[in-house]
Amino acid sequence: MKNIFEPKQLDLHKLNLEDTRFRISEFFSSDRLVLSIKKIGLLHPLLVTLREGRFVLVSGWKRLSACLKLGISSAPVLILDEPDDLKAFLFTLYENLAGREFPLLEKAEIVSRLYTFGMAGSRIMKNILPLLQVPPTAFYLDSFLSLSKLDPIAKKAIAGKNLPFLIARMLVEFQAEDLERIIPLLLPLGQNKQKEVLEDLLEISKRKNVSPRDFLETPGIQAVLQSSKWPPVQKSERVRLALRRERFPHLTAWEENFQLALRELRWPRGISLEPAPYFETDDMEASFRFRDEREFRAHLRKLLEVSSRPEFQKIFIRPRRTSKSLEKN
Amino acid sequence: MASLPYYPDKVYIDKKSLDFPLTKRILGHLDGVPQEIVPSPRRKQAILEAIRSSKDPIGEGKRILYLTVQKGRFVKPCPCTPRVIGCGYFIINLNLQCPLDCTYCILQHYLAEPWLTVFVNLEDLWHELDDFLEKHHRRAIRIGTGELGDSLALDHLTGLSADLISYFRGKANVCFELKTKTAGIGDLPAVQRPGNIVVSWSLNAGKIAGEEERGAPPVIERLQAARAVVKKGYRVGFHFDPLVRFPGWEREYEEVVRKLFQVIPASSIVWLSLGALRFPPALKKIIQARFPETKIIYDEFILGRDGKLRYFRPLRLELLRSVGEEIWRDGLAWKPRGKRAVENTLFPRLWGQDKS
Repeated sequence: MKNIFEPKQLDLHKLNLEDTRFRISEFFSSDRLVLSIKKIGLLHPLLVTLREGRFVLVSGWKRLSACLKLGISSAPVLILDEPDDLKAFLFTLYENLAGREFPLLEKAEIVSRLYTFGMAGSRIMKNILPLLQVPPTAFYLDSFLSLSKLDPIAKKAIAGKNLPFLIARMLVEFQAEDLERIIPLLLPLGQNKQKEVLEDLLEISKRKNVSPRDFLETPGIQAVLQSSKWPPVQKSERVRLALRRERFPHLTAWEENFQLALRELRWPRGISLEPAPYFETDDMEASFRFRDEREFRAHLRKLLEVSSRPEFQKIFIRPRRTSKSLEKN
Repeated sequence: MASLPYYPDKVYIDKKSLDFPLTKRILGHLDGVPQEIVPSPRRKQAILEAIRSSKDPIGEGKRILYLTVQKGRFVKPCPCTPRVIGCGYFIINLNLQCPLDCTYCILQHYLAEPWLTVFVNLEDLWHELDDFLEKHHRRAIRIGTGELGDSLALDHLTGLSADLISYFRGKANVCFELKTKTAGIGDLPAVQRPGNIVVSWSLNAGKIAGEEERGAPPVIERLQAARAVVKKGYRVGFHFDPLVRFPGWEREYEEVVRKLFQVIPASSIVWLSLGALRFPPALKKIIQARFPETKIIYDEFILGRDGKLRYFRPLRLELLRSVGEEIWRDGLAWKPRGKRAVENTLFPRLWGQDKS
């Protein structure tokens, strides 16, 4: 590494803010930093270096943002004399590494910048990913490189909702035009359901050879999305169920048929009746809780009564299917 | 179009395997192929690391042949899925991995080392087999080499099938199976019929063979190869596994079964097996990454009790029942009467299905 000169005061207008080659933080709130600088001033100088005769910021984008919000026109800086972008970038990496955890997208930016500045993938894997607490494998290297190229709408959602790697990685599979439609649907849901929606949508589109956005334009889905009856969370939930029905038509038909049979039978409350998981066997399980003999006998009476009705047979009947359904799919 | 025999881009030779006759035999067929002696486990790890850090370690591994010594046991019981009906089969691990590149291949997930491995210490194998057969001399044994690799895909380099046939020929309580998808039967010697050596082929619908079984010859070539080995005196078997659903599967499987019985006399067929596509979730991720264009993994799969993804039960049964019925009708010219009679006749014999 080369020299860092003594701190000096720099007119912030002299910084070329359009040159963001070293920037890794894009989505952040500087409110607390604004308050801090307002109260005690900027204690840690910004790190800058010269490129094409102008100063560019190497490290301190959050501090700079806070200064600009406060209308501060000059700030203390350290000038880094390092013409090599990779070496200069390592300054910001190691400076930040010591002080904080990197959010997902910043990790992606770090990996992407290092790669762009010429660090070999194998070196990133071996030396950098462990520092970022990421498993050192080609899968993660590729994933983080892809995350850095994500559409801004997806990046904003990942940063704003603190989406985990698993979900963020799935977003990489979609094009920007798909993400515009998917992100609003996704955000009201919990992470498990987000994963389910993304997985189902991706697999339906692969199976049917249609883009996810085209599939979301189908009348059934649009009827839900355009309805004013439901708030966003209910719309997302309904779309999730519609996707599941499309992805697993036979399984959902069996499940819905079973639930319908229970409703028609007016299955007694307090007694659960469950088929085997995914109907893998014909077994069913009835269960109830009781505190004394009286409650126990009451449940048995209900079971006897419900099983004597003709509709009881329906819980053993499964929908017929033909392979024609596959042709349609 | 005939598929070409496999030749690796490079051969690595474990230092300990240098002096074995099989090593010399294989290298004799690989004149001009770059070779490197692996002097230590450390060097081996470095080579494996280099393969693993490539974009497609599994694909990369298929281009490399590694000759080494089997330090563990050659003969093992088939690693059947827990909680499903076991097959009672024994496998001989002489080679690991396969030069073919089938989309659905479990070896992509199952084997830790991506390169093609051949174990060259044959003398140890014969001793181990002697002990194994001595121990099991009172029971009927089904044993084969095609579990962790194709039995014949490397045979033009190794000549192992002839050695194995020579060993097993005449052993009355043993049925030895060579299992393959290739048409490489040139090195199989003629045998006396009816023998205890079975050569079996994995068959599939033309669409699946063409699109999902890269490097494997078309089904008709497999059947022609099977007919040729029948003429050499062998009995043959066929594995319809994995059966895959796709638009038009009924017609295409019907066609394969029809062709099978046109080309191969039913009297030469020792067994036919059926199995529907199934795979662990981890393999799905590998398939997605390696074969982004395939659609076979996007059908209605549910997570079975054994942790594998399987077709939703009615779809699975329809597939098995439909192909099973074709076989009964075309192959045996009769079928059991009564509701679900074929299914009930077949099911006790189907392994790999849930015990319940």
